[in-house]
Amino acid sequence: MRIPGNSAFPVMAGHARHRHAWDQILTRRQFIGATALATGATVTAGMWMPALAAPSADPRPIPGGIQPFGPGTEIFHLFLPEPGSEPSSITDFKGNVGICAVQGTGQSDDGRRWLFDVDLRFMQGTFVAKDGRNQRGTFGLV
Amino acid sequence: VAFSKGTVSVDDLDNGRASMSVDDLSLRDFHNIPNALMRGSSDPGTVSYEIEWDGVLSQGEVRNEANRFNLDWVDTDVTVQWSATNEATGFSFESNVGTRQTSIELGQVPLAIVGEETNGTFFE
Repeated sequence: MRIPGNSAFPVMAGHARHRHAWDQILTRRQFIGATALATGATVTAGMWMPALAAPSADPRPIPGGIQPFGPGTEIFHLFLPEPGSEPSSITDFKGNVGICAVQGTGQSDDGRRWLFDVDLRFMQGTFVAKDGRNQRGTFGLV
Repeated sequence: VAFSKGTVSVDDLDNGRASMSVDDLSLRDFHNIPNALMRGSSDPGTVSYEIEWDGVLSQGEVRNEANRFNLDWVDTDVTVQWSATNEATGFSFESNVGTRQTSIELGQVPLAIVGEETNGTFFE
């Protein structure tokens, strides 16, 4: 299959995994990604880029997800990046997805070395929006 | 919430080729996982990143009745570079190129896939 495409997209926050120290630790979850899980829930509830998608055209979150605080607590509507898990955080979706869950090294502007851990994703295709209409869009998860 | 535009290019899923680019996306820095989960205090920040997926390491399908999704996936090589700035403190970070190998060298198990998914009402 060959599916050409290149489009602007809204980005939402996602999650990342914890890492152990090198000189310092900088995970996406600890830095901005921490927003991720926090936003992961709300993002899917309506923090999509408004410039590209009116509220009525927002996608809905997947019904399942992770519960970091245990059964009966808040659900964060996404799954960890593991083989066999669902990449998309939006439901009623049909399209292309990508996950990049990778660790590595880097440095801050003061010269300190850090580790990083990212989970970056995209979802591009057709989805049924909250207003019940089919829409096309591209979304990122940070 | 501040937003920034990015691009996604899915060039050839059969051969695992796709890319994603985001510049100066405004997000919040929650500093650590517990604070983020509890929606604690945060600082304004920005992130930028570039990802290239390429090559086929393996491929397969997932059909999950419980969560109602199908996934045709291609496991790929990947490169990623990202940077971030905390606008309140001025702290900034820039990564070296991250790959599967850099993850493995750190004792981690990377995941890099592209694919086609259907879920929810499109699940069959």
